[in-house]
Amino acid sequence: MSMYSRLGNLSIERRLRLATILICLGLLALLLTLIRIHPLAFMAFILVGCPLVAAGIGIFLYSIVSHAPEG
Amino acid sequence: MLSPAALEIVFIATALALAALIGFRVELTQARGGRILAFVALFILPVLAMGLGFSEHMQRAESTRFCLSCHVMNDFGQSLYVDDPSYVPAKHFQNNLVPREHACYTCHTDYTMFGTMHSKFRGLRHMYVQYLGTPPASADIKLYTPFNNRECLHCHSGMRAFLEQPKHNKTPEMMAKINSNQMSCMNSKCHDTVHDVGTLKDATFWKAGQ
Repeated sequence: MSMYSRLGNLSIERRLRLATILICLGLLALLLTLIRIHPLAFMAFILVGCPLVAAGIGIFLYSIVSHAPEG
Repeated sequence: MLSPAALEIVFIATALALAALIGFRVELTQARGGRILAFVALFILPVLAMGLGFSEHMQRAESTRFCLSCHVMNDFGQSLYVDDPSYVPAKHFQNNLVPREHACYTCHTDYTMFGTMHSKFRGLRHMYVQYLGTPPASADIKLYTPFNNRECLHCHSGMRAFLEQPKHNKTPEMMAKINSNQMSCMNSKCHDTVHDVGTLKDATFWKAGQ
């Protein structure tokens, strides 16, 4: 089962919650990387924080475009 | 007044709080206002947070503290305090001829993440060697390519003391060769004492500046 069809099986509330969790984790990672001035902090920003936030945004946008309004 | 970094932290924390609010209260999105809030909290603010965070990290990467944060660079940082004006970086650093907070970046503008894609991959390799490999001794670290006069000329080009220096005008074509990088500032037996970290054990240091 593809990721899109698995996402499609979820209700919009669950998709929004999943997007929120990913965005919150990503933003938390972004916050933590700003604590220290170090190359590892930059790598964590690029490789952990940004992908999590981007995935969350992607799921959020997918949720709103795939949601058929009632009626 | 908050520093830009502190403002960035406050901004991300605010974005995080709003995103968490939507996560805990998904039913808010049933109302029009809630949907707008969700769009702001789950799209606009996170995108801005990533952009601002990237900008902040790039600025930090220009700082001397960033460059010297790896142990293998300690000796290079120490070389900035050598009490001998023949050490070119030390002379520039100690006399504020380069901004101390951005001392490394001022003369190495094309290094790792600020250089070409090839340089960026070399930066990744440095990280790999630092944490998963065996870092070389400081004295064995060399530039990949000869130091480009362009870095000196950022400031010295057009400078009267530089243009009128008799040593820079020994022959009529000398200045042109310096400007075109055909004659290196560093490797022409002129300003050839640079970081020279292999000699630090015998050097004395400017204690007051440390």
